[in-house]
Amino acid sequence: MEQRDVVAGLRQMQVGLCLPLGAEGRLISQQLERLGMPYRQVWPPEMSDLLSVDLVVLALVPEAFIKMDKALLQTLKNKIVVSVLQFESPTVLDLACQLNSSSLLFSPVKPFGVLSAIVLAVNQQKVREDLIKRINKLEGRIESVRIIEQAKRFLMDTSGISDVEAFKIIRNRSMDKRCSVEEVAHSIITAMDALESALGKTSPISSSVKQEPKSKKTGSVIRIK
Amino acid sequence: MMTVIPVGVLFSQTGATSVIEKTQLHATLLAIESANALLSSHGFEIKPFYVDPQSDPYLFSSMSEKLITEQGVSVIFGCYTSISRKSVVPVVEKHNKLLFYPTLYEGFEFSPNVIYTGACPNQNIIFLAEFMFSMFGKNCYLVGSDYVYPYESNRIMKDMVNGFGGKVLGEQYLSIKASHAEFRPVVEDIAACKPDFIFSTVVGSSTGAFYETYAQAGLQPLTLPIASLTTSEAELASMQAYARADHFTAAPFFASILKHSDLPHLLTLANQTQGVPVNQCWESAYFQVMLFAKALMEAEDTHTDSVLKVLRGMEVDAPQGRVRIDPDNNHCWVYSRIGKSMVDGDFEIVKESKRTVRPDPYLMSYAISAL
Repeated sequence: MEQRDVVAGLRQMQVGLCLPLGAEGRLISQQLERLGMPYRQVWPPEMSDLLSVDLVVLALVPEAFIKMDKALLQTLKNKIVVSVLQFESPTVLDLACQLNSSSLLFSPVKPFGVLSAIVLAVNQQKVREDLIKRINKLEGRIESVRIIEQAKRFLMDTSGISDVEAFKIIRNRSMDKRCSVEEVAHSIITAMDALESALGKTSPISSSVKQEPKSKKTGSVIRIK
Repeated sequence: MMTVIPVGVLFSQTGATSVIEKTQLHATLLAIESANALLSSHGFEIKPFYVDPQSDPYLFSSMSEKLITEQGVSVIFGCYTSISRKSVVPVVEKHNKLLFYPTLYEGFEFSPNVIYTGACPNQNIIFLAEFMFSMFGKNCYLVGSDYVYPYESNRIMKDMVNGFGGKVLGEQYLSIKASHAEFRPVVEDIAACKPDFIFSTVVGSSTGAFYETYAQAGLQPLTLPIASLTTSEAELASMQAYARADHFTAAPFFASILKHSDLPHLLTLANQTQGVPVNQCWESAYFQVMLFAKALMEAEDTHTDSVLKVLRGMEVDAPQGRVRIDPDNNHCWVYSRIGKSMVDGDFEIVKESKRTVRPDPYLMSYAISAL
């Protein structure tokens, strides 16, 4: 199996330690010091303290969250979250899920296990980000296939040429113009659209293409909440 | 030769939940006295070490540690709120000692070092919901103290109300020390919402403030009663008489069982508890000492592992009836009962399960079960 350095980079991360002051907070902060991870302890969590933080170690005290401001919850959710649980009850577990916790620590926390929880959470976040990137890329690719298909169909319908010939025309044009096949296809559709609106008619192709700007923003369609 | 068994007793005499914890303290000490009468022939004597954690979770933790390390106790009887239990559980686990916890709670816990003798949600809230739905309707207003037990109880009640086609018309959480003034806007909102009943998970001294504010606002229990799991005889005793009557509480035990029984051992107990607001937490605190004494006699040894081994599946005649420790989850098979509060501070039992109900601390779905 390929060896990966799972701990490299941890010391460059800013940790927000969101735990009430007390023995548990002290124990975790001392362990973070041993790990060499810079942290700041804030309780209750406040927006201003969290802005520069990458990862939060967060006590899921239900009283502190049940009336929490939505913007603050959203800010917490966008961090890498390691939740510290004292209760294993549905309300608390619901909270852990809502905050998108990537790993858990259990009260009373021991020094053993803190590093593992952090490494797992960082890895989960990386896996998630890679997946999002991949999904965005794939969506972009599907979109480009769709546009090329439509441009091809337009050429085939208007010039009576074959599928292969239509594609050749688009590809040659892209090589001449030094731009992508997708861009050429897009300009064909735009021209077709302009032509048809000037003539005051709508074809099934152009009406479906009119939805195109919406679906072009593929990046915003899939967002991990 | 008599072997002295030191045990720790950990109930608050001050703080928001001291009203009920004092009754648990009373029950524990009374039960130890009775148990010693039985144990002497086996050569054992239980010696209680009482400390007052003043409703402070930190003191629960540090005092239980001291009881174990300084007094050498192998067993602790104590705790009312969930947070106090959570403070003691790691300590008994670390030292491999035992905690007997005599309080209803929200479930979702198992520690091999804890014996849970109060009701868990499947033994009270489901029975209560079924009763309230059939008698008054399914539209409900939730009022609770601001901590984990009320959140979890309300979560179950909400699921049941929604699952049975009712509506949750409001949900409010107040400080465990909330005053009459803080309850006033809540009661006004309830009057405006007109639910079929109120589900209260208000605990501690604010219970009286809530019921009194309700009565002062002129709300009528006959059409809009308060249903609760935590309003016991102790809470009724601490509120004004005009606020007490015609509300409902679900619990395994009510003091009226003791008062109306003709069983000799319950008659004795009734005499010993004159003037004490005997209630479900009192009763759990009482019978759990009896369980421990019985385990001691069987195990003839105070080591936790030996005591635990005999406690699993053990039965005892509690004031509520014969109860049993579940061998798999350390919780207790108890009765489900509904009591209607009366102006004299007692409850009239209006419904009860035929048999004890199996404890299901990890209750995941809330279909009304065949009790």
